[in-house]
Amino acid sequence: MMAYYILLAIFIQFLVAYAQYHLKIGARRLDLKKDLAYNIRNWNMVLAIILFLIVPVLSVITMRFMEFSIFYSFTALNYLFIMFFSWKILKEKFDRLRIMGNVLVIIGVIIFNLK
Amino acid sequence: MILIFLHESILALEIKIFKKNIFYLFILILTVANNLVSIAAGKYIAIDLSFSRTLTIWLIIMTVSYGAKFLFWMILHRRFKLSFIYPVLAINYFIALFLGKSLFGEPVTVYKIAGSAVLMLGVFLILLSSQKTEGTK
Repeated sequence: MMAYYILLAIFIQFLVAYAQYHLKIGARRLDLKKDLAYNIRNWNMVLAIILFLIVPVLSVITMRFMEFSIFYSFTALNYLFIMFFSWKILKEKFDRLRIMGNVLVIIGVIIFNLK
Repeated sequence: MILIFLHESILALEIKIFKKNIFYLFILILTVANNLVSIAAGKYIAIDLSFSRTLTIWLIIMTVSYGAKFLFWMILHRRFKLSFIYPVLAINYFIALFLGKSLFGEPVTVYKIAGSAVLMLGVFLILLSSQKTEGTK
């Protein structure tokens, strides 16, 4: 049962990273000099908002069975998903240092959850 | 109506103080604090889901903090790279540890402290890497 909630916590972080990615694209397309109607048609922003609405609901469900600090440790997995989206879609460059950093983040989450 | 007001407020902010770094620093600090508040509010809701005044208050706090998070991220994204903003939030892993103990009576174990330290080290490396490959876009 706990494994199910751990998977859910990881999935939540994936959703957050995906929302961040769309927020990034949406923010680039945002033009505050144009009218509101133009900016509302920014589908990246709309998708980001929808995902940001889903995440708190899933978080509450997960936290019913998970400690606050443990759930918070899972938010670190965001780095991993963010790196994936940044590399794969936004074409940002990475060096060994960043890869090492992400490996440490994963190790950190594992250590955090040891009993 | 609220959206129009929000839109005009952001526009006004952008014109007046958007280019000042102090503004971004302030937003960054607010984002760090806001992250903890939103998740702590979620935990309070999760503890007792029965409808009550307390639940409503936490629900409002959670909604507002998530809304604020969205607004803060939007402002930060316009200035910084995605991979630069996140590392700054690493300090929250330690804060969350002690917040969990003080608010919810959760145990602070050696594993949790060690895990947080490794997490922060990892995030620090990511930060170093971000600085090497330009922090801002």
